[in-house]
Amino acid sequence: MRGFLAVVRLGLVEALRARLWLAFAGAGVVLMILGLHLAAVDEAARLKLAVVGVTGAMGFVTVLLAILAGAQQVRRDLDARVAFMLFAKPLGRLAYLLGRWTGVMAGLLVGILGMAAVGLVVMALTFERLPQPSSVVLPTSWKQVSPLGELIPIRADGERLFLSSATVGDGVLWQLEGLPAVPPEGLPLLLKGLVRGVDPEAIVDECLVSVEAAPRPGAPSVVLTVAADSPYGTGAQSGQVVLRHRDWSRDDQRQDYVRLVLPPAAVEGGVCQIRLTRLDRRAVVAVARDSSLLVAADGGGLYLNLVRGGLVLLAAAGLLVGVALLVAIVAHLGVALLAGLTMFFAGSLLWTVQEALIYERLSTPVRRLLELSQVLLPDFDRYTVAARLASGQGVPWSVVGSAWLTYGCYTAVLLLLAWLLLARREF
Amino acid sequence: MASDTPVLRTVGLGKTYTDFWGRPRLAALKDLTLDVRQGEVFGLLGPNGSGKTTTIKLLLGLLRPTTGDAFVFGRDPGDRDVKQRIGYLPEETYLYKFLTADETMAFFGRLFGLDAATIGKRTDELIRLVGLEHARRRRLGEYSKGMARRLGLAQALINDPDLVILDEPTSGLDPIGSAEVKDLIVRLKQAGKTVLLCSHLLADVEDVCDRIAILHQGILRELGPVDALLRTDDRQVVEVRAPDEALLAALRATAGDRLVSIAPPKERLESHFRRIIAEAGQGGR
Repeated sequence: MRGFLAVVRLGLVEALRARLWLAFAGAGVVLMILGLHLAAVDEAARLKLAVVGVTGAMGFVTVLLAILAGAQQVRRDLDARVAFMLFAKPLGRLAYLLGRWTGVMAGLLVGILGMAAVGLVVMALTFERLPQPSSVVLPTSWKQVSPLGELIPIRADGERLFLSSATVGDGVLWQLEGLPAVPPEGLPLLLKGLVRGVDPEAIVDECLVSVEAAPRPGAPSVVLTVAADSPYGTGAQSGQVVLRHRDWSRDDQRQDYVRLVLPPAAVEGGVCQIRLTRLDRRAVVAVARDSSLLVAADGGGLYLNLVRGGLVLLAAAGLLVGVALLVAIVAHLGVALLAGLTMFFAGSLLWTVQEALIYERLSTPVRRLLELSQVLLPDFDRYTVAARLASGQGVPWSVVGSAWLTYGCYTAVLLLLAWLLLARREF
Repeated sequence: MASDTPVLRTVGLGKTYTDFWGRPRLAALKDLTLDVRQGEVFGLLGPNGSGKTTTIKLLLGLLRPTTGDAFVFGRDPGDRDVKQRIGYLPEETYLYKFLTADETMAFFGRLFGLDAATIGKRTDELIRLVGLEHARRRRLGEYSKGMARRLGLAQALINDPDLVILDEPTSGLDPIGSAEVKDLIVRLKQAGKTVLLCSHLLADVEDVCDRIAILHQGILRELGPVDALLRTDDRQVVEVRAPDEALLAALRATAGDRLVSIAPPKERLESHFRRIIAEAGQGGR
């Protein structure tokens, strides 16, 4: 333990004194500033670009430094024979390896905290209002409602539901659980759907719907109203909402969702049922299980969410540090850098493998190889931090925990292999 | 005083380096059997490539023996408790150039689990001992080879070791520095420490070692006390103060054919150099 802490401290000192860090930190700041000056159609889009720029810069610098610092520190110890001195002392090789890994990670954490702060300051100076990421509560279950009011279960693997009966009055009933305490002014309830005409020739891109909420089945329901800051939804009679077409890829909470007000009376014990009813016979409405309805509670400030996003990036970086350390023990610096970058790019392009498996006609060996790569390679696109923050969603601790668990498993295996190699090595 | 307790023991120790495929490439050390006793200064001599450094690496657990066994304080050299009691100065000083001398000492002190107060105290003592007080806050990247060597020596003593292994300790040092290192080795011996000194500078070894082993091509060629190995029983040296021609003639006449030489004794170059430097210092540079 004592040796481990000494090596961690050494790694931090080294990280802070190496000029390479300053160069990358400078590059990150430049990237963020450039991001803020990108042209966009309106202020909201510019803000979105700014958030993507900041998180993107954090990710870029974190990944590069993880690979570079991890490979360079161990390789230098071996090449310059410092390891010769170290292992003549009562320092275990596992303690050394874990110390090196933790030292690099601690340095990266300092960098992430710093870059998040710089990004926040730059955005605060550039924009009048900073985005407030939300903490999202998604429905736990849903059922289709027939025009006669019957509840029809939806298959467990059903992801989308089309409301297209010949008569109006059909809809969907969602159950929300685990809602936070509702303030007197209510919670924002966000709704979106895909809208098209019953007649394929007709151009229809909006549909009248009504949205009601009740704390439990049979309880009196409350008709929800459109919030004053909703980007669309008003313009109809009281109690009605104009749902505009939004395709599945659009998920900006500030622009693509109707914002409704969920009052305290509609929630009991953190549970609430939301019923959407289609009122326009000319339109077909399609809703998705995981993205059409959500409650957007306060998700903490932007800085906290940037930091949590950074921690997700750090988890992925930890894996890359592990790769770099492992390869640096047996190969030269260049090979270790190449291995780290290859792992990163391969893990970032797993979606192309998925597409190839679906759409391409592949020979059996190639198919097996691609399937194996999907199982073995870490997916660096699994947690889309930049897209999440840009769409107004926060990064909850659960996502951070999930990322550390996922990438942590890979990291543990890599460090174990690295330790086995280092333990066998003679100096 | 040296005791009979062996601090280091090797029994049939051998090391053969292999290539990538595990085929024997070089037999660096063959069948080395020796003991180093507590409190003695033991010299390991030999030309380059004779197996000295390989022996040291085996004794530090940095290499695994191909044949035989090595014991340090009666245990396996890789044992962490054993390493806790060893101070080691390698042939070249491998240190972190971005650290200062103080930070280097603190880092190595922490590896031994020393607390901050002990590290501070030992660092002050050792930095003074090796004459680096003026440069203790400079980064090692700015150090000369000799300064780095001095710091390497200081770090080897941070844990107040029972066994000090010094591989070419005077390499890169000027004559004054070399002499100071030899003085230090004598002081370590007086403090009851065991010193394994590895060098190819024979004068260094002769001055400070109790016993020596001579290695050549990985094989132990000679082992024993320095005095016994160097003594020539068939000759005697007689030194007289203020000799005159009559006395010298009498000596020549007495010795007859058995006389080998009569000549004034020479001062050793090292002591002459130290005296000149000391006098220059006293005379106000």
